[in-house]
Amino acid sequence: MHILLENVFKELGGRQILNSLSLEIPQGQTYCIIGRSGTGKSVTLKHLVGLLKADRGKILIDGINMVGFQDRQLRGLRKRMGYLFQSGALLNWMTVGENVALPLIEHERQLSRSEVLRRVREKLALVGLQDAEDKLPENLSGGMKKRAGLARAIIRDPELVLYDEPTSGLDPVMSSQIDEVIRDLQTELGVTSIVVTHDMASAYRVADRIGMLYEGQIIEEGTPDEIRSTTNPFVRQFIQGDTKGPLTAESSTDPFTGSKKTARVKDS
Amino acid sequence: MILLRPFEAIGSQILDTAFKAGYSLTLFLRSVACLGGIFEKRKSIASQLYICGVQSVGITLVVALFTGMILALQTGLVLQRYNIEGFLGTVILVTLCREMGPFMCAFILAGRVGSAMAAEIGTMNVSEEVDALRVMSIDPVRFLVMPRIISLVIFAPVLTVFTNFVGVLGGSIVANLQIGVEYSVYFGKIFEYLEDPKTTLEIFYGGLFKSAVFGCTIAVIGCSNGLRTSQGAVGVGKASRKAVVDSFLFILMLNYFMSSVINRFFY
Ligand SMILES: Nc1ncnc2c1ncn2[C@@H]1O[C@H](COP(=O)(O)OP(=O)(O)OP(=O)(O)O)[C@@H](O)[C@H]1O
Ligand SMILES: [Mg+2]
Repeated sequence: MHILLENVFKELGGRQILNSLSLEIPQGQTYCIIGRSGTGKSVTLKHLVGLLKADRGKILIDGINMVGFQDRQLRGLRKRMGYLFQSGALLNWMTVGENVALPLIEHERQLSRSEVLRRVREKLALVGLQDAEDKLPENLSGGMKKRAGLARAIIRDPELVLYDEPTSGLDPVMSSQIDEVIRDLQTELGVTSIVVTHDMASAYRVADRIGMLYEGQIIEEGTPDEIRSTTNPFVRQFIQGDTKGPLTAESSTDPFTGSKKTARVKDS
Repeated sequence: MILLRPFEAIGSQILDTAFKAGYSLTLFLRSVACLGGIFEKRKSIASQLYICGVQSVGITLVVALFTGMILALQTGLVLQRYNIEGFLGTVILVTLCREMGPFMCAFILAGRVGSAMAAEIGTMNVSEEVDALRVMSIDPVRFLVMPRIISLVIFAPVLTVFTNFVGVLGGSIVANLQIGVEYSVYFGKIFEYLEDPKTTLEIFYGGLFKSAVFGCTIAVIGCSNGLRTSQGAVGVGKASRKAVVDSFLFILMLNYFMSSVINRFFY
């Protein structure tokens, strides 16, 4: 799927969360959104599945503007998407296996039980949860819930997968394994992915491009190498995790250029 | 300007109430619209029935027993004065079936089951599970709300029957021990009273119909408060509290109107 956001605005709780956000993701690429907590990364993802509706602006998916889609159109779109929620969002009264099977049971009735089971086991194995099939979510660690959520998100082999912090709460080894899953989905099935993350190591591993969200816009975008060697002080502070810098100061510098604020040079 | 404050407050309260009522009504209509999926959802309806049962049967029966007993005592003392205490059983039966039974059950269900529904769905809502359903193109109304409504519509009348039964039994004990009415007289008069089929129809089915409507109300209000939950754990507490208060109010009002209609219908 080809994704294009054009000047998307969204106000929530009296705050302008997305402020003319523009973003393009070519078919089959993996795009990482980084940014501080509370900048609207999850909000951005929610716009793409129609859980939130943009106040203004366009969200084009394969060239079709999905802002203002009705329920029926949204259903058609969502069928082709997988969404890993930040908290996993498993239904707590169902076992992991039942949770992962849910989209198949609800939407692909023609499948036999054994076929459903086979696909569920396959995806669980992919995320390293083959032993947790019969466990209830309450008996899982945070990282396991997230992986189960990932298995559920990809059970119907979607064309676009939205990952909300797929590696937070995972140990480094498991993080690498999940990154590999994301990579494999891309190379083997041509999945387009958007990964929201704080974990720079993971971002460098999976991303084709990385964009930093700040005050409702992408202030800097580039390949992992470009981001690693960026001169933008906002991005530098973020990726190095410094406590001092423009992100934490009452800033009067321009986040696009890092220079003292003048009129905005770039309007993306 | 400060003088206008109370009016603003009242105004926003009215708007808020209107919005809630509208939301709940829409939710109800949408649930009706997905009644077609009732067979598919039989498993979750069954599990909801079980949850309702576990949460409310014990307490309801205790309440019913003591209500029957207190009714017997207070009414018995009055009837005794006119030497018509033989009718005690009938009075208790009618009181319970027509009003007290449905009403008591509704209150207990609202307090235990309705609030639990609001809390459960509220928790799902704030932990993104409801959103997850939407993203999977699973309609939360069909998946969560409809089974809960059906289960309470089935369960409330059943619970009411038990309540009436236990209440009448409890009454008979007090009637016998404290008022001095023989069991044979107590139940004899009841059966005599029930010989007229129209009466039976009215007191039983009228009451059961009300129960079913109350059950529906409680589930709709519980779910609607749950689905409107925001702000994390605090919001969940609020939703469950509101579900109880709203249900109480609504049941009280509905009860009056339904009783009026039912009475008009039969007399
Ligand atoms: N439904 C909503 N109503 C009001 N405000 C909201 C809503 N959803 C999100 N917000 C606000 O939008 C802002 C961005 O939220 P978002 O969840 O996108 O942050 P995030 O970038 O994902 O942060 P994190 O890394 O902590 O997950 C937050 O300040 C949040 O309070
Ligand atoms: Mg987030």
